[in-house]
Amino acid sequence: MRRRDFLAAAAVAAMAPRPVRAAGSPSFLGYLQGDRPAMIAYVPTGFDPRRPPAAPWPADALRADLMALRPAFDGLVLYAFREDVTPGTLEQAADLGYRAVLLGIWEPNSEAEIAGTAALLRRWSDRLALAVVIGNEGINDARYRIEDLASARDRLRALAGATGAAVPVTTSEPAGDYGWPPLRAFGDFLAPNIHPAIDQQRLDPEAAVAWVRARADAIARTAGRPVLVKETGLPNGGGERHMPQRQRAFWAAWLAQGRITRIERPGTFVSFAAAFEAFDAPWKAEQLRDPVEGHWGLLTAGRQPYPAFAAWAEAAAGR
Amino acid sequence: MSITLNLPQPPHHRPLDAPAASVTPVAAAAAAEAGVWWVYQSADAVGNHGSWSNIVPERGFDVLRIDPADRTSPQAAGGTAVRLVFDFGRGPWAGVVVASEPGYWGDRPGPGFDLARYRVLAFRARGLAGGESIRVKAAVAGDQPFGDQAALPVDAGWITLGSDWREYRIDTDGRDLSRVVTSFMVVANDKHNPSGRATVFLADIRWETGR
Repeated sequence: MRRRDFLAAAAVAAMAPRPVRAAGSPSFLGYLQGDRPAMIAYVPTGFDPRRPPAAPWPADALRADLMALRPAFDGLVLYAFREDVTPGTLEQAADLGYRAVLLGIWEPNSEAEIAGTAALLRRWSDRLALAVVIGNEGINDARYRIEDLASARDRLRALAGATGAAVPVTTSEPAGDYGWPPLRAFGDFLAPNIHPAIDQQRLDPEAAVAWVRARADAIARTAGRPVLVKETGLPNGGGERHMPQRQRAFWAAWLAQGRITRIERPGTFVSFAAAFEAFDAPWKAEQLRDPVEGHWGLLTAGRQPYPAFAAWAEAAAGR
Repeated sequence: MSITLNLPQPPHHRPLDAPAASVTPVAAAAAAEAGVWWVYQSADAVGNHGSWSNIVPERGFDVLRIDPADRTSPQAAGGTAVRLVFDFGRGPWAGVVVASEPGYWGDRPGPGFDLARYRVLAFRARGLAGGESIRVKAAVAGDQPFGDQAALPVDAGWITLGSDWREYRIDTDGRDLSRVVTSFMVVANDKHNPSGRATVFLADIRWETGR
């Protein structure tokens, strides 16, 4: 594109009306700044993404999962749109009183995922506080490029209708990659994954909490934008140092420090409202050939809570 | 201050015969006046700073071999280049950080460089075959109590190399470089290098005052 054409296009883009959230629709960023937001990364128990979609995932199984989580959490973090799973998940979440969902698009170049997510935005954005995370660590994993994220965002907004188009979008990469300016510039808020169990293995749980919070604070201050720590936590097993009591100690220390920090810049805050993750996922340990990857759950694959779950449940109850 | 190009030598790692390079105050001052601060000019240059010592992750020695005095890529302006050979059959990723002293991460009091006046991290690079992908960063230890002053790294993002020498320039993006303990880092992984191996040459690695 010639420079003159670029400037003309930029001027038109600047004049174009920005999507506006419909009056009364719940706001995702408002949810994060409100009363005790509590989100949990969720993949259904028994689900294995390596298996192709078949019949819709049983509604009673989804409901049982979300009921098990509900005493502690009122928001979900998802990773992909799957026709057999995601619409049913939102049906059950809305029915059980969940307040927020961070929808996921795993493959930004998938028209099916984008169209399916747009349909969910059209259907649910008047009842649930929604946002969309486009991609998850896929730049680092060479699954897509940052340019693909922008294309997916534009396509999503074109399909989502007036209300859905106002839903905030983001992407997610490991915290150490947020020095890269294009990553900090993408989306309406930032959603880094910050894992002390990977990057700072020798820290005790309390020090790990402090390290994660400092990393998130640095990203927010540098970017001048809202940050949701999308993934953090400690595993409950799968390695010598990983134990349920350490996992509980991490989350207890985490919750004791509050769920939001405001940065001295307008509209800038760090949300500590998300936990990783709901249920142990044996398929992940198998796929990634790392036993730890199967042990991030706050509940077992059989929906039995680890001690860490009680920390979130007690916080939800105000105890 | 004496700066060496030494690498840690765990038992399974071959010893390196890289020449040690010292920095004299005169040489450092002259370079600074010229607006250039060298990380690596050539293997025996007196103006080199830092130690190519910090390998990541802990088992990165299995994946990454480093020759800081490679002469097989003769177009390197200084006559030598740093050659990095990644073997991802031994692990999914690895990298090396040039630290202000060998093994130092800023977890305790130690030396750092004041690079506050520099605005660009520049270097030349090529791949053996072309198509190799690396990620270059600096000031990566901002999370440590005595680490880099910059809270987030300077980060070029992923770079796909050609088989010919090319110049790369990274704007420091307003980072506070008043204390730098990790003046250069290069990492690579198997996902960005699906052939399973990558041989990369780096040369003329420096910080510049201009844009």
